[in-house]
Amino acid sequence: MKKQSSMTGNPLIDAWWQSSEQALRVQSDWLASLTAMGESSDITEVLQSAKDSWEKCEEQYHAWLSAMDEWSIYKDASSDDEDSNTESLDVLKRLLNPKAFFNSGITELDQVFKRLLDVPDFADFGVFEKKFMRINQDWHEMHSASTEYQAVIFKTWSEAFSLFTEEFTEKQKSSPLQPKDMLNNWLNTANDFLVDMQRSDEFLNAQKKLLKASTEYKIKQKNIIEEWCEVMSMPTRSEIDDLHRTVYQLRREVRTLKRQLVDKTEKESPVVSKKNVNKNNKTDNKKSEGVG
Amino acid sequence: MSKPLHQIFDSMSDMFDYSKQLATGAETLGKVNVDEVQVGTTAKTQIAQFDKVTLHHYKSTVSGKATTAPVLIVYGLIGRYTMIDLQEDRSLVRNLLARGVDLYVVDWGYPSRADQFLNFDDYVCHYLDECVNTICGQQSIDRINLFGICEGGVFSTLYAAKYPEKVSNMIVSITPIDFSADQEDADPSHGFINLWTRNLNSIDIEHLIDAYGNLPGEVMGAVFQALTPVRSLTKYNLNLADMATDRKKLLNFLRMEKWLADRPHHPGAAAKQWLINFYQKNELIKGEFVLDGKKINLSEINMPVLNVFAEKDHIIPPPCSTALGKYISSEDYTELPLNGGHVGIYVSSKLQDLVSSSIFEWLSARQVGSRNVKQKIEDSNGEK
Repeated sequence: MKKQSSMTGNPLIDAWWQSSEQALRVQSDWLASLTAMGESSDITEVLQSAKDSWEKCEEQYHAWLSAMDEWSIYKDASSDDEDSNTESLDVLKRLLNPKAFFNSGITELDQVFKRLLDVPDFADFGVFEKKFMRINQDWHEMHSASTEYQAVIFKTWSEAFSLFTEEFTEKQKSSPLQPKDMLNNWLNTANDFLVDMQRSDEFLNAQKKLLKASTEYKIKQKNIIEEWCEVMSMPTRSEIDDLHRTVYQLRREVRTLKRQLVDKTEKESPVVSKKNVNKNNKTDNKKSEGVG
Repeated sequence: MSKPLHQIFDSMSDMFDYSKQLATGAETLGKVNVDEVQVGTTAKTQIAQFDKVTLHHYKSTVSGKATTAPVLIVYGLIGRYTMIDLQEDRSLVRNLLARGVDLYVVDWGYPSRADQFLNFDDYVCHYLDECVNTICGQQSIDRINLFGICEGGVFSTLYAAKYPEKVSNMIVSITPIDFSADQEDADPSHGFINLWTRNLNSIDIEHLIDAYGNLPGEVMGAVFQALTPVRSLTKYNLNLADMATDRKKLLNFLRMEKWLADRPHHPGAAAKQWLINFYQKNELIKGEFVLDGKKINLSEINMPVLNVFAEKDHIIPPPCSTALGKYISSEDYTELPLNGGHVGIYVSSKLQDLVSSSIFEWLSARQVGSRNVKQKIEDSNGEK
């Protein structure tokens, strides 16, 4: 890409300006194509228009990547404060990454929390506050995992759509399809792509990460609520779980003892003990006429 | 680009038809009475209760003596046994009763967080054993026929391996035995649960279950929905619109939905065993699964076994089920492949008769001391 001249003298601001201008240009094209879609009565045109729009979005993404490379060049050439520029560039790179749109700058917030949490623990000072901040960090991790997961799914949908439009446009040329056939074609294509996606490492790992992050968040959330409960002298979930465990273990012990008693009685008097077992089971002792 | 006039008319006509269909569907749906959408309605009597677990005896629909020894239906903890009694004309239960089978069912109930510590020991060696003892006590017999479905098939297999003297015949259906055999199934839409579970770390599964106490029914529901992604996205719009104009079809659909939505939580400890010991570690075929302090050896299964599986089963791929034959010592082992899906073989109208007649014929041929069962049926019908 051709290196552009400076407009403000600050390479980072210039690059940001160019990127914004480009984004607005693509959005304007996108709006124009949407309008065209609304006005068109031909399904091929509609699909072609949607495909063009999607390609423009992709172009924008690639333009951003190139712009980021340019900033690296600027940084190398004009930096007085290299550390500061590197940090700013990293922030910009993250902000411009399409995936980060979903996060809305959360990564930056997350890093602030991380810095706050990276200080020594004191026995009685700010303990609860730190735990609360850790929950926020877990929430951010869950949000980030969710974004990555959605990105994998979104990518698959767009690949499916891309293939479908190509194939459909070809088919339309030879024998035009009715809307219902077109819909079925689209659903079958999407299903095939989604089933394949589910077996991919990319999807499985994103799903694993999301599951882990959401579980960690839920457990930490429970822990902090339990701290509140203890302060307010309310029973906690963990205490109730402990009770359930105790009742469960007692039941098992009773069962074992009962079984031992029945075995002992059976050895002494087999006929009587069988009757007792049936009484314990609260059966109605109704006889049915089975064979075998 | 201009569009030919006939194409515009065709599109408009399609759109008009669809709108009309939606309107008719909405009207039909509005007239459905909630009482019409009932599942598991075949008459039965509760004969025992152990905590939340209940044992039921189905009321015979034919007069005279039963044509078989008692059969205990054992469903799993994922979903409910009502799948085999969905509606009057799609009910394995009714079809078996019509053939004179003496039928029982165990209902695991709705486990809550208070039941999170229940594990396979409790389900197999306590609850299931109590059910078998109760039936044996009631009928003055010392063994019964077990009919396990899906996870209930694993319960039955474990029970038959641990107490072979109490099981005269075992039928398992859509039951996983080798949890890694999904890799032998070439169909990419089969075995996602196996793959999904293998990809997780055991500690993540434990944390997930610990976070909720149990394995929430909603989680398994979401996993099942993911198996058929587009079908899950379109069933409440396109599919519903398609069938809503036909009242009978709509009621069938709603009953199925009712069954799908009725998904109890899976007790935590048993869920950890299910996902880690069975799915991840495949302990059942390795002879490493420990029940009541002892390793289970599948070669202890020496009674006649019928293995019913679905050729298009995307939840339990067929090789996972057919593995059973390799590990048991029974000399009387029969496989019954059916052309359907996991649930389809039980709820499909086309397979209703085939499933019940095949099971009945296999079972009736193995009734010790029974006279010709076909003759018995004719006798009962004559008495009616």
